[in-house]
This record gives sequence, structure tokens and C-alpha cells, in this order.
Amino acid sequence: MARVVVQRDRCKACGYCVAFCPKSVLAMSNDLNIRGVHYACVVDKDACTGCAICGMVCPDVAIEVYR
Amino acid sequence: MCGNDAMSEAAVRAGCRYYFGYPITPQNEVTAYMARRMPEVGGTFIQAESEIAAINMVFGAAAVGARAMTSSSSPGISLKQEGISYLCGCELPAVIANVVRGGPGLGSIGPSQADYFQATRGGGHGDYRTIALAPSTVQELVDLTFLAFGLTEKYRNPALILSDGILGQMMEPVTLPDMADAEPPPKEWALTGAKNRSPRVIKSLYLDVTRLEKHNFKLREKYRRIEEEETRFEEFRMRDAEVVLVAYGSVARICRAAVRQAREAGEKVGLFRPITVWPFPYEALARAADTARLFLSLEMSLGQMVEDVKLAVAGRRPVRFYGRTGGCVIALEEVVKEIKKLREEIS
Amino acid sequence: MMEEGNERSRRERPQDSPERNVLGRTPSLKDVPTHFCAGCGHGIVHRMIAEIVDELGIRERVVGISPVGCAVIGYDYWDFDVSEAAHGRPPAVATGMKRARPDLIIFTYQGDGDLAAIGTAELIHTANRGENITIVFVNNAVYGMTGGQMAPTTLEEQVTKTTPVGRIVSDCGAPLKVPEMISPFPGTKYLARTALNSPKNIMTAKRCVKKAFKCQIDGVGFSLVEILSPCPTYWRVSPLDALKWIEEKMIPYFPLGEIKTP
Repeated sequence: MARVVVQRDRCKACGYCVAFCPKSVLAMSNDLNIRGVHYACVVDKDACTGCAICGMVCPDVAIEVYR
Repeated sequence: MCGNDAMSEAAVRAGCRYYFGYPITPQNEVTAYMARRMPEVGGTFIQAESEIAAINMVFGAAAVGARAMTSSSSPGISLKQEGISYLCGCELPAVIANVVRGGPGLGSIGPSQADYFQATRGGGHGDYRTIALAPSTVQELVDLTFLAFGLTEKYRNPALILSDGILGQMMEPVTLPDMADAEPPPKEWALTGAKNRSPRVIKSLYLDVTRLEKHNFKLREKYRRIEEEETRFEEFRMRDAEVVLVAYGSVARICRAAVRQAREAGEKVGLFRPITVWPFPYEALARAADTARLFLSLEMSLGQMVEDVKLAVAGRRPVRFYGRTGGCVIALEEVVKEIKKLREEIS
Repeated sequence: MMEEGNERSRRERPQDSPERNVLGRTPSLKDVPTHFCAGCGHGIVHRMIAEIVDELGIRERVVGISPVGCAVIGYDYWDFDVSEAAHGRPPAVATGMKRARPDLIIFTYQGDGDLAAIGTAELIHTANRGENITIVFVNNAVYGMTGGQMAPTTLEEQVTKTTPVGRIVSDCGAPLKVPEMISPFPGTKYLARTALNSPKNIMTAKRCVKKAFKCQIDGVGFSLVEILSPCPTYWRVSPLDALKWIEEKMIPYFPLGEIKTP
């Protein structure tokens, strides 16, 4: 069991986490956050293995990973 | 001891254990002395890759709480200006010695006083001041170097020693102070590793302009305190002087002899000698204008201190200037001749 | 579109299995948003350094030196002692610090202009003297803070504000390869070049930077790790395209690897 938590308003929508997640857990949201960008969000939480690649590539330390 | 060696030893006696410098005439004796002496007292000597590197090494050592010094001569001091501005903005203690030579540009290796503006107006950018001490004998060079280390730590502001090419080479007997404790007092701002305390930052950057203004006001308060408490000058035969010579550093020595000669001939001449050129003794000089009839500023330059003399005298008396420059030294006969000319003017 | 898990919520912990946080914010990195652009490598490297400091347990004796450049306000992000330095002079400042307090772990964090343009003399001589300090060199081939001018590491034909038709080597010189340049000095002990363009490379970068810090802790000597970093804003590409640019254009010219090991 693993999950990630994205801090919506810290996300700058660089897209790294979405691009590098091996399981396509994340995608850019249709909505905008307080920065006016389509923030990354979890779209397939069951696929998450807790590999933490998303958290590692995030330049804004906006992702926490739990296993 | 020669001036450069005496200044170096005085720094060591004051507890300086970090010297970073670069060769330039006429202060090469300092780097040679420090290269030998620092290891003897467990200190560190580095011949840096440039004067810029040297002042930044001083910055680093000061930031971690150490007593550090650098020295150079005019062109090298020009290179250090950014570093000095940073030291002031970050409120770090440091001693910088300038053994002034002829300029501008590469100039000459003779003595000069043409770095007065650079020393007193702040040669670097921004509103800051460096405490500038101007010795006129080798003993005074020793005493003021020792004092510089105390002042720089007291006020967290760089102190400049204004020596010159003649003072640095001159040999005079000196009494050296006792060796001070090499361990500097702990500083509650120094970067020593955030152990059992919250982290500290050394910076001069305040992108919020109102914060930077506030920081500048804080510096101004400090400069006011220094002006009130650390202004130093000497008055020689001034009490009833009609012609007042204003001179500092090695020029003051020559003027002192001229004053003695004049007094022996019954002429009322005196010497006003600033010892700190920043803070400049405006008030004391202004008081002299109550009774004196004419001021003569003598400098080895085209005339820089004369502007401060004019500020002090505030138009109440005539202010004249006499100078030699390029590395030329003012001769006693020249001073005597000038005094004669001016006394004729006022009689 | 499911958006569960977006809120910071520790109340969501499942009852049946104890959950642990395997990746989060390390203590030496302050919990504040950064000013860096989306996709900027500085965020990754700042975090990397904070993690290394915490993993090596050196927070109480580390002192960082910030550059002039986009990373000038490192002290707002790192929760340990940090000093500013004049542009290009961190290696000299580091020298003064390390000589006065050899027990402190001193690192500089410098961009390509700070290190390889205005600071070249300080870089070369600090490396040549073999000062036991660590330089983290963030190479994004452009001057970001001042609006995208040519850097010493700007690639041939790369368009910048001051190379509007692309860098012409016969006019501007070729891009500088820093670790290779200082490798012949006996004083340099650990030199590496890494990149941030993939998770694998980021992990390698962290390993190398950690090795560099260990080099200093063990008293081995001067270490420098170059990190090829994305600047989407001044490369005028999206963040993901910036990573591609590192892979396709930067790495062939700036080869990755450990250039020198102790």
C-alpha cells in the first residue's frame, strides 16, 4: 500500500512527476491552483507503488510519499 | 623597525592571526613579514591570487569570527572596494592597510596622499564609511594598527590604516604593545555552525527596499556613534596660531618641523593634525577658525583633504592649499616658503 | 478526474498497516515556497544538499556560501548557517572560512557565471591550493537572474540575449569544461559532472555530491561537482523539453562521470 500527497498550491506544474512516474499515478489537473497553473494530482491512486520517483524529481518538494 | 614591519607586528600583537595579501610595492615587506611571522604564532598567511581574492578571504575569516587583515597599495585598494562595501554592508570586522603610492593608474611607487577621497568617502558603492586612521610616525603606525583591531571589532565595521610609501619604508625606534589574547571574543553573529542555536545569516542583500533603508539607517547610527566617540586629532602650537597648517600622515611631520622653525622666528603658526581622517575632526577644526586667520592644507595630492578643511572652516577664514603629487615629497623649505607667502597675505 | 490524495491529510492513514513517510521535506530545508521558476534545477539541488547535510548529520557544523545569481537567497531556504559573497568570490570566502575554522564543513553553491566567468581566478587558485572545501556547481548554460545572457558554458549556436544569432566560437570562445580544466591540479581530489535530466541521473548527482561532502569531512581535499541543470525560462522551452535538451545537447558536450577520484 502506497500513496503520494501533492501539496496543490506549492506545485508549479513543471510536469516532471507526471512524466517520470512509472505507473501513471499522476496527471495535470484540469483545475488551477493559487498560482494559476494546472497542478499535478493523483489520478490512479491504486497504481502507486511508493517508488518515490515523483517526490525525488519535484523541484518544489511538493510531494510526500507514504508506504 | 621599518614602518611596514612594525605595522605587521602590531597587527600580530593585536591578535590578528589571519593575513591574506598580494604583492605590490611599496608594501611587499608586509607580505614577507607575515609569511614568516604568522606560522610562528600559529596564524595563517596566504598569498592570494589577487587583491580581490585577498579581501574576500578576509570576508570569509571575519564571517566565522576570526581577526583578519589584508594590506595593499593604491591600485590594489581600488580592487578591494567592492569587498569593503560588502564588509560594511554585512557589518564584519576587518583591517585593511593602504600603503599609498602615486597614482592614478599604475602611477609610481613614491608616497602619496591621493587616496584620501577613496578612504574617507568610501571608494566602493553605497552609503558606508570605513574608520580611517592616519599615523605620521612609525610608533603611531604601531599604536593605530593595534587600535584598528579594537575599533573594528567594537563597531563591526572595517578599519583602514592610511600609511604611505615613505612611512612604510622609514626606520624608527618603536615600543611594541604586549601580545593580546589571540582568541577573539565570541560573537553572537558569527557563522560557527548552527549548534544549539538557530542558524545565522551573513548578508547585505535586502530586496525589500524599505528593509534596506532601515538597514542603512542602522549603519548611519553606527557611523554617528563612531563620529562622536572615535574622532582623533592633534593640535601643535595652536593656541595663538594665526596661520594654521592642516596636514596628516608623513606630511604632518614636515609641517611640525616648519611650525617649530616658524615659532623660533616668532611667527604664530600652528599645526592641526587629523589622526582619524574619518571621522574627520570638523568640530575641533571649526573651533580653531574662531581665532586663526588663515588655514593651509598641505597634502601629497592635488588637494583632497582641503575640501574637508573648507567644510570645517565654513567660509569663515581663507583656506589655501599646497601640495606635491606623483610620489614627490613636500620639502621643509617649500612649507616654509608657503608660510612666508601666506603671512604676507594676511599682514 | 480523481483528485483524492491532494490534500495534506495524515488522517487518511489506513488503520490496518502502519504507514511511514518515505519521502518528504528534510529538516534542513525550510518549509517555504521558493522563487525558482517551474522546472528549475535549483529546487532539486537545494533539496539535495539539505538531504545530504541531514543524512551526514552535519547541520550543526556546515556553512554554505550563496552566489550571486538565481540562487542568491539560499539562506531563505536552508536551515543552517549561510553567508552571502560577492559575485565570483565564494571560493576565496570559503578559503578564509576554512582556514579560520577547519572543523566547519564549508561549501559553495555557484552558477556558471559566478564560478567560471567572474570567479575563474578564485576557482582555479582555490582548487590549486587544494583547499578542503566543496563546490557545488550548477551549470545551466545561461545567466538566469539577469535575464538570459551568455554564460561561459553556453553551447555553440545556443541563442541567448547576448548571442542573438547563437554563440559563435570564433568570437566568444568555446564553452568551458570546468572539472576537466582543474583536473590536472594536484590539489583537486574529487571532481564529477552529473545532470538532473532523469531520476537516475538525479540519484547519481546526489551520490556524487554526497561523496564530495564526505571527501571534505574525511579531510581528503578539494571537491567539485558540476550539475547540468534545466533553465526552461531562458532556454525558452517547457520544463520537460529542457530535460530533453540536457540529454540531447548538453551531455554530449559535457560528458557525465567522475572526472577525478581520490
